Amino acid sequence: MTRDGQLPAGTRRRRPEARVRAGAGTRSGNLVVGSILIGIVALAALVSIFWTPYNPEGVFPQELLLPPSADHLLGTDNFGRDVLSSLLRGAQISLLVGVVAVGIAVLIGVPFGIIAGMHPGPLDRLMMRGNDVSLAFPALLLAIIFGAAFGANTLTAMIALGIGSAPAFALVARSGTRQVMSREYILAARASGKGAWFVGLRHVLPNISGMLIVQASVSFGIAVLAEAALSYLGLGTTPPTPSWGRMLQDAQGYIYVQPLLVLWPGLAIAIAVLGFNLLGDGLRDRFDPRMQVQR
Amino acid sequence: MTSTAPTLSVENLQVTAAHRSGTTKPDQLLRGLTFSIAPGERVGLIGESGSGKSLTALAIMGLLPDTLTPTGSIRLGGVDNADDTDLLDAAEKTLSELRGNAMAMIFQEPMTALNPLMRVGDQVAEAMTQHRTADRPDAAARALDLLAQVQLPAPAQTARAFPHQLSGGQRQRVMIAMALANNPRLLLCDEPTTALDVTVQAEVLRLIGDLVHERETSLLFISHDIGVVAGICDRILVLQDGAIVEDGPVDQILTAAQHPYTRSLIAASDLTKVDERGRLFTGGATAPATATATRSAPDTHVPHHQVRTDLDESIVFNEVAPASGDALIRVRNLGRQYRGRGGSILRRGPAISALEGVSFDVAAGQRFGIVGESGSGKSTLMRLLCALDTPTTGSIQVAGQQLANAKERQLRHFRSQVQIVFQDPMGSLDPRMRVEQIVAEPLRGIGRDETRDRVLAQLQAVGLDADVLQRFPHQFSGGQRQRISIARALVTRPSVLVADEAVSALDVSVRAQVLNLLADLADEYSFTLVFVSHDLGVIRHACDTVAVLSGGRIVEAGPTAEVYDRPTHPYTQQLVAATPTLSEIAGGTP
Repeated sequence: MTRDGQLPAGTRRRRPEARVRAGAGTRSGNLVVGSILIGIVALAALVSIFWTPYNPEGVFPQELLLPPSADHLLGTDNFGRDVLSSLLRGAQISLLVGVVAVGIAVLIGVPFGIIAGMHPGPLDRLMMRGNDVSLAFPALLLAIIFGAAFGANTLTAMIALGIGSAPAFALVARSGTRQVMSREYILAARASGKGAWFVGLRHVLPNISGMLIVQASVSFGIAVLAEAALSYLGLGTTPPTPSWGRMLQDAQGYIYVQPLLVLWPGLAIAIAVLGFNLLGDGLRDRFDPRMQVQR
Repeated sequence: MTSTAPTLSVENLQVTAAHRSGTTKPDQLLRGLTFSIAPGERVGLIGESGSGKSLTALAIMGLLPDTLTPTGSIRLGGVDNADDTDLLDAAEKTLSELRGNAMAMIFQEPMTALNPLMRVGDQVAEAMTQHRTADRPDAAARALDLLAQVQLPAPAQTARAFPHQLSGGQRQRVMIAMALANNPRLLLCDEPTTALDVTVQAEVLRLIGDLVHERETSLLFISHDIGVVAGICDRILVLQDGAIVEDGPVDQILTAAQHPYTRSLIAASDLTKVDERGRLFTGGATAPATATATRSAPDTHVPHHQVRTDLDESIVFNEVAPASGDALIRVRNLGRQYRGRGGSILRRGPAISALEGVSFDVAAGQRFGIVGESGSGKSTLMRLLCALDTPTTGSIQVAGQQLANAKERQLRHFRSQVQIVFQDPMGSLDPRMRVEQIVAEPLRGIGRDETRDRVLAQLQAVGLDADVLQRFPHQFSGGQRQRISIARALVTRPSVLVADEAVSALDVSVRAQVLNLLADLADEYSFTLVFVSHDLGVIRHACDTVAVLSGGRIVEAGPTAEVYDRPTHPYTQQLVAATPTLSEIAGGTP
């Protein structure tokens, strides 16, 4: 990973400035590769809304476990379904789960973290200890519990993953808020009689948005992975809707007959998760001042 | 080793920054510097921020970042097997043998330059063992000796301390000990005292001067402060935009500078010199003058010179007699305590007193200076005056509003009456807001058009054009940002303006402009100025009354000229004596 493009071009500052240099250093390899990978997944999801080679839910008993061919580019599975069509349609579910789970996590975690960060003292300590407790439950475990309690389907998986990822957002938002609150423009705003709402929404939120975007990107990858895991366990997306995790589970039984069936969904999951993690790293390089070269 | 060969000779040093796009012309940061330093000579390098001072030092040390390309030649004389080696061509191995050995550098911020996890004695010893100039037991003994030479109290104990357990001045002394451990031929100092208090700065400067003199080390001393450089150096190089514009002995530079830039720099540095209208010299084009010839001090209230003789004595400084109207600020027996570290869930930490028994008045129209070093409680006092913090004891009344125990709802009117200008021109402006939003922030309850009109008018009053409205803070220079800060503070027409070190982060010429602007605006809008600063020169120029804060108490207060010319409290005397002034050194008018 190179960070050559990250050095400020000219003058040496007396203090390292913690600001985003828009438009500079865009040639971060992570950012580009991550964006391309996610672009592929997003394109697949988009195309599958309008068109897939075959009906991904269509069962063709005469075409079971076919190897890749001109008719079925990636072959067919144990029900004779076209694997490429299922993969394309499965991208929809993965992205949907990612968007909804991260959305829920942001809506819960960010206000929680900002409120805690803006009230140092007993309230902050109380909220953050509570946050630590919920952080102790992994999102995946929470989703399994939710699935057992409220029925296993995509919706419960999304909600559980969202709630489970919220504490991480609260941590990031709080630490960012603490940094912003120590700046003098917050004192200036308070000296102008601005209330907590104004300070939180107009000063804190825009200034921590960079690190929140990074966190969102990484959480997105985790959510995609978690959805696959849940579906694999039979606690996520219900049949017949195609899902990468369940494709993996279905293929497991035929691993000696048609090993390629395991490869395709595994590859799809890997591409999506890698894409979001690289994007997250790339964004961190651009947004996080601590990662920039300090002189 | 010949005594005539210069210790350092720099020839046609150029530093360029390659542009990322590759198409545009590369940035030239240093444009052909040529100078040399004789053995034992002490040379000062002055210039404003962005002039390339620090780059020069980094280039000599071979520590430039990879994106910058130096050309020219740098030679270090009088060093075995390094003679006639161009440092710019030298291998990294050669350079790292020279660094810390034949040449050493002292940085501005000793806390970041020291390893926080290593005892300082070991760090000093490491400087020697690394270059194999002493073996381990020897190095430890020499480290103690060096710590004693830099006049650290109880060297044996200090050697076992970690950097965070020492004060800023002590840390800088450790840095000096490390730099001098191997008796370098050349010592580079990059703003070594800028982060220190005035009294500590004076001691550290004297120490560097003495040690360098004893060892006949050549010194390159980089600073933005001419007063500091003039006190320690024989010769001064003046750097402007990456080029040396003047090179000469200190006396000559201070009294008979040839280059107009040098003259303007010196004029702007000298806060005791003003033109016939009472304005500071700013060097460049003078701002349009709106000020009256002489400003009228409040005529009813006459401040008295008062000194604290007993620690627990309760004195009201600068008391405004009821006969001469009501005081705009009335502070009585003000105290603020903080809970220190060391507490737990069950037990609170020990109470630390930041302010104690502070009582003073400020009359309307006064320009009141509060001067003190770090830890004196001046920041706490500033926050209390602006109702950004609540006092533990005592009362504080500003613009008719009692601030102790006041609810935010009761402070609505007060908030428009008291505004602040902060020190850090970057940190005090939200980087994600446009100038229009920033300046409009204190306004409330008026329509969009009126807001815009008032913001525009205020920006024009501080010397900025309408086209700045949609720009972001990072697109401005330090001085411009401070103007935006002042515009925001004045847009509500406050009756009190609190300036918290408002010019401490600015270059001297910009500092003079901002001080002039503040003085003009104080006349125009007739607000009461409370100027909090560590810099006595600034307070002396900007204020008519001054209070000296030390250890959370006011120790002396009175008319500025009187306090400065006849300081009575021992602390004030120490403070005044420690401040480097140009006029004394030059012994005449520049």
